Amino acid sequence: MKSRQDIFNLIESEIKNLKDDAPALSDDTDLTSGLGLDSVQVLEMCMELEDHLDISIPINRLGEVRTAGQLADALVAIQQDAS
Amino acid sequence: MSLFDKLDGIRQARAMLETVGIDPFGVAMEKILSPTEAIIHGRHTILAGTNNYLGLTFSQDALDAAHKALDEQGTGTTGSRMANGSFSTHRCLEQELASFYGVRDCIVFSTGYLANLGMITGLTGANDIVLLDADCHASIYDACRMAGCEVVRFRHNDANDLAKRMRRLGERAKEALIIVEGLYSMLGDKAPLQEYVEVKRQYGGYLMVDEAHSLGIYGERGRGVCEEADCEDDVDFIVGTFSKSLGATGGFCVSNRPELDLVRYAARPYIFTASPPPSVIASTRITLQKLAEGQALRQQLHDNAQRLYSGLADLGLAISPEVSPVVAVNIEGKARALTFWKLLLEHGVYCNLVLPPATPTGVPLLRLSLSAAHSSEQIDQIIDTFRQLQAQLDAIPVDA
Repeated sequence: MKSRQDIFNLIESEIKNLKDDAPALSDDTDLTSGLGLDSVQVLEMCMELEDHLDISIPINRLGEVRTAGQLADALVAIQQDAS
Repeated sequence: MSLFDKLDGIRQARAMLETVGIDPFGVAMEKILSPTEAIIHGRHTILAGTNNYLGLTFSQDALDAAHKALDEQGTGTTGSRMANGSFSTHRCLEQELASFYGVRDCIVFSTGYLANLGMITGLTGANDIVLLDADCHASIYDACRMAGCEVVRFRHNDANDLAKRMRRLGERAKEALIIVEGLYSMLGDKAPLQEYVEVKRQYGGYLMVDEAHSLGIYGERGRGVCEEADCEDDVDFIVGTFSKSLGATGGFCVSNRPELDLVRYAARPYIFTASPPPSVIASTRITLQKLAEGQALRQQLHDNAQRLYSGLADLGLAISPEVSPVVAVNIEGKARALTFWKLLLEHGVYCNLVLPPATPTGVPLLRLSLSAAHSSEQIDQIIDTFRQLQAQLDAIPVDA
């Protein structure tokens, strides 16, 4: 099972794949207004994260996710549920 | 924050469209001349974006049946079937659809959108899991949200990706509902249904296929991609619409599952909306017969699709990967796509403009849908219009 920091690093890496010029990521970085990702890009990124972590992310769990930190927390919780 | 602040983004997006002088999402057809022609802005226009695949909207038999139903049964049902009663013809159409598919039962809904809403909310709830193709129609996403079920997306048309997600579910996979479409409406690509059936055989679960855009187009009898792929026995629920090949409005689900009839009592989008008017039911009963016997129409439609696809491909345009009655042309740059769409309309060709994030490729696209009623001359005219306007498109920078 990956640590929260590992998961956060994975998110950062996937964002870099989507946007070369993405600013440094913090817990409070807003995925859409802060990074300029649209909702489809966020979902595509989540599919890549699913493969890295071998989990499935129900889209209902993303409803309240706005920031990179919230996404990392959600993935940690899903990973724990799946184990 | 005011009630209306959330509309600011839409206001800004529409203002951008208005700079071009026309709202592509508000086109009004002043006079409908035929299934493939209308007057738009006072101009004679070829309709290449109406999903009228078999061109049956002016079928004389269907018109006669609709007129007769209007005279005999009135303009509307004025209520829902559950609360206010069915007309006998609703049930007749359900029996005819079940017979057409060779299955046990059918439920007719008031629209295709409501068919997905009704079926998915009738079948699933908070403790259920739905796996859906990432490119599924908004009605399927909306239905899942309304049902409150757990939703897992898999990569578009990728059975291996579905299998991966089924494996992760463990025992829960056996009761999961998998939802895909037969033909995807944006790019006109077909689902690999046999591969999905294999996944279902391995992991369990139930399979629902939305044939909204494939009914009447594929299969010997026109039942859709499930028929063509010879996997109808492995599909638990087929959802469809009357609003495309059948030339009316309405939706349905057919199934061999004995539980289908119970869904009527659980599906709020069935219970709490007015039933389809008798004229719509009457015309649909006729066009369903024509669809079933419509091998010649299907052949004409596929010939037309091939003609348009080849013609646009020869122009070097970036078009969708498969030949089908939906042909999508990718146009880099929102302003270029908008300008080109407007030029086409001004030159007498109506098609659909689709902008990201609504496009599966992330690139704006012009979506054309063919009809069996298009003549070769009309298709050549569409291709020729693209050819004439291509230089103007090339002159617009991608980042304009």
